[in-house]
Amino acid sequence: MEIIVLLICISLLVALGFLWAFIWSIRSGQYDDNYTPGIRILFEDSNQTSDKQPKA
Amino acid sequence: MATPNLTTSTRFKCAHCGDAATGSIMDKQGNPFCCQGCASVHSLLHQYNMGNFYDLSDLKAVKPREIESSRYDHLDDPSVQALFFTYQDDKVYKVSLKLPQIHCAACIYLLENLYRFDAGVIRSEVDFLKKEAHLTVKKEGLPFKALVILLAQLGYEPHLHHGLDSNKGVADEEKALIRRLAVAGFIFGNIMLLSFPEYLSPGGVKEPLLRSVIQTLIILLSLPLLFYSGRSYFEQAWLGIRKRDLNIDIPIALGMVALFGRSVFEIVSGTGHGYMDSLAALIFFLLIGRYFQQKTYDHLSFERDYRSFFPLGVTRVQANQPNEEVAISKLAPGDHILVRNDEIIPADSILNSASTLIDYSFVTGESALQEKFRGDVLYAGGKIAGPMVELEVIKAVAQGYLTRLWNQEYFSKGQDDRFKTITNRISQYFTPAVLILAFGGLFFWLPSSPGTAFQVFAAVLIIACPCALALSAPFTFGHAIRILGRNGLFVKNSAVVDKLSQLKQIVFDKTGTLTRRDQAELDLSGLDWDEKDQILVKTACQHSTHPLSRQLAAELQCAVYDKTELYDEQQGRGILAIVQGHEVVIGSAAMVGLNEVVQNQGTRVYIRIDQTLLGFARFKNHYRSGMEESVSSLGDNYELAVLSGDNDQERHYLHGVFGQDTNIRFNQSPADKLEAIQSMKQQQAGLLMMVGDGLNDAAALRQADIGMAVSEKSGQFTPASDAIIDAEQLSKLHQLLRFARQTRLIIFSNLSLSLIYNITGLSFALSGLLTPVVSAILMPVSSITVVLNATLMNRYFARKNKLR
Repeated sequence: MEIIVLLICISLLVALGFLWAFIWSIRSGQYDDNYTPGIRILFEDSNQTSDKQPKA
Repeated sequence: MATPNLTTSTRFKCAHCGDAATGSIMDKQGNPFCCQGCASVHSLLHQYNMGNFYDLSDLKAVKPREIESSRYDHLDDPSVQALFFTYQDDKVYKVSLKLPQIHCAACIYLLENLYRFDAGVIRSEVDFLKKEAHLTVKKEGLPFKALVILLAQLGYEPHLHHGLDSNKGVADEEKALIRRLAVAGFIFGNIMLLSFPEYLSPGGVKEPLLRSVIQTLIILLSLPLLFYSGRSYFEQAWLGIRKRDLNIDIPIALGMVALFGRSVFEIVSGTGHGYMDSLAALIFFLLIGRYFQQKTYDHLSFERDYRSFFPLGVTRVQANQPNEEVAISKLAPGDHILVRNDEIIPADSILNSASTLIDYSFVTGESALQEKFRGDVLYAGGKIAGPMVELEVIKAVAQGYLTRLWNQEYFSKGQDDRFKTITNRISQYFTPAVLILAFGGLFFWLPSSPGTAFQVFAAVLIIACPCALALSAPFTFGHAIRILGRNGLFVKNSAVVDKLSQLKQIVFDKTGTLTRRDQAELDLSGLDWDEKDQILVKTACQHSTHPLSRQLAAELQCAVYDKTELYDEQQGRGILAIVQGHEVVIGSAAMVGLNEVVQNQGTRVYIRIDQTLLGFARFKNHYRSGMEESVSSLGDNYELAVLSGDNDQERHYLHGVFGQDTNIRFNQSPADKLEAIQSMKQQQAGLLMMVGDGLNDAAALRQADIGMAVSEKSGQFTPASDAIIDAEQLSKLHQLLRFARQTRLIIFSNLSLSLIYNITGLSFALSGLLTPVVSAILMPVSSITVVLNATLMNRYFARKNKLR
């Protein structure tokens, strides 16, 4: 039975990881614009500069 | 909207914007263009290897405007720049610019490849729905002013006004809600899993270690659920208690506390498993409802103040020094400024040039141009129609007539106690009923068995927790918001739909609302002339820059003479020309030698050729198509009124459409409109909606229970309001409002559904038979039925009203 306790704890931790990832993705603005990227990917020679934007 | 110009041949299509081109402007490859601006953008695009643009473009590229770079001089001012920069250091700046011209994939392509035009652009990213570009630019390479000029040259002149971020607060709130929802969903799922053994066999897990671990975890998980995800319900409930308002959040909060308290008690005392799964489901569903009822429209803003309408900078004339561009907030009384054709007067001032025509339609609703002479006072908000004028500022921008009207106290719509949402109105009865039942159960059982008494007390609070009731309005109105939005009526929030469903009175503005702002109709029936006269008139008119003569010339579809012997335009009076030996006089009554002063007959332009008075041309308003039918069908259900800033030349017509006893007032100043709305509200005849556009209605729009702004094209700036309607859809207003009215039926049917569930549950609770399983089933089932019912009925009513 101890193994189930352990598994429950591990699964909870994994789930917490996903929750954190989701909240992080909202905070970092990944859902701010969910229309334009779909168009952008269709451009033939979209060679955007790979410069990372400076952290604001 | 372009008026068809018959002289241009439509054989050619501009290779850039797709407009008709004459063929007189061509590049080396033989591509025709409509204007020099388009030609230069075209060659610029090819020069920088951006020919792809035309593969993506729908041949409706934005026509570039002619730019005077001095217009943007104020952008060199760091304090102005700070308004727009989201970030800056010594080397780079980041800026988000509103580019209302963005309309297709080619726009994105062009703007995201901006670095090819200028190496100073490090990164550019377009947000299509918001019509914004986020740019990172090197300060050395491309100063802000140069960046704006570059964009304007390409046809994307940024909309440089204050208050760009007015949607930001809403977006932040929405993000916070999503976080709460995510946490609630996570906890809901995990508690369900941990409770699963309980559902299969009563008593659940028998093994002591596992049992205590599961129960500890459930209690631990429920803490963030209650105190993070569900916190706002407690806050709202507390607010309600303090304001002595029995809102819906009070029974919800009580239910949550009862669920939590009883669960902890059962788990700790070892008497049972608790109801944490129900608590998690409750909070999760409630938050979904809350999320669903809000719908934000990225390209619209409901919170604009007067500053969005004024230019950011203006040219100041200085003695012995070159002119400079200054931010309008820095204008002081005594400054001399230059305002060009089509620009808005930023501050109350005195005219220093000989004379000018001013379009005050935006401020007053009066559609006729006003003539002003040297020394006259010009109020802020008017648009100059004609050559550039010099003005002397007499009041700082914040002190102006309009600005002050706008800033009056009641503009903070905080004291909106007149309206209670439908849910809160129901809860006025619901909440006391629940409390009476709960305490009744408590005192009934208390003498015989105190244990059962407290169980019953908690059970009543749990089962009466109005989850279905609280979900009913968010889902009904959430659906309604989306359906209305698809049909061109964008509302600010669900409370506006609620108000629309109970609307009793509608007040219309005339200019720009009932009529179209962009075109006045020319009535030539007052003229007695033959084609020869028309040719003479057109020949004389085509020299003029006056808007009325230009429209007259455009209206006449005849040939013209090549030569005009004499041409004299007298500012403010009219034209005197000699064509083919005939004296042609076009203008005011005085100009043609008439003494009569005709009041309120619209704008008349008299025409005299030699000694014969031909009569007059009249410019009248052009009513929107379908408006008459819509108004007459609205008249069946609502009390209508019209407040017009214009003169009363159309009184007769309007009474014909609205009915003889309708309250129609003319010559209403913005302050008059405001007062009219206030006095109508005081009559307590039910909720009142004002439909209007422009700055002249701004005060009235905010004072009304619902302010509906009319937007000619999306992206146009509308004053602060509760709802924005696409002008094209105004003729559908009666259908949209009927649909809004029917949402009440949906709410009431949901209400009866949720009451049935509550009564069923209460019978369990009062008899002391409520088990966790019953609660865990009843709660979601009732919520899901309510949600389904709201969805289906909304669809049905939308289809019935022929809405998309």
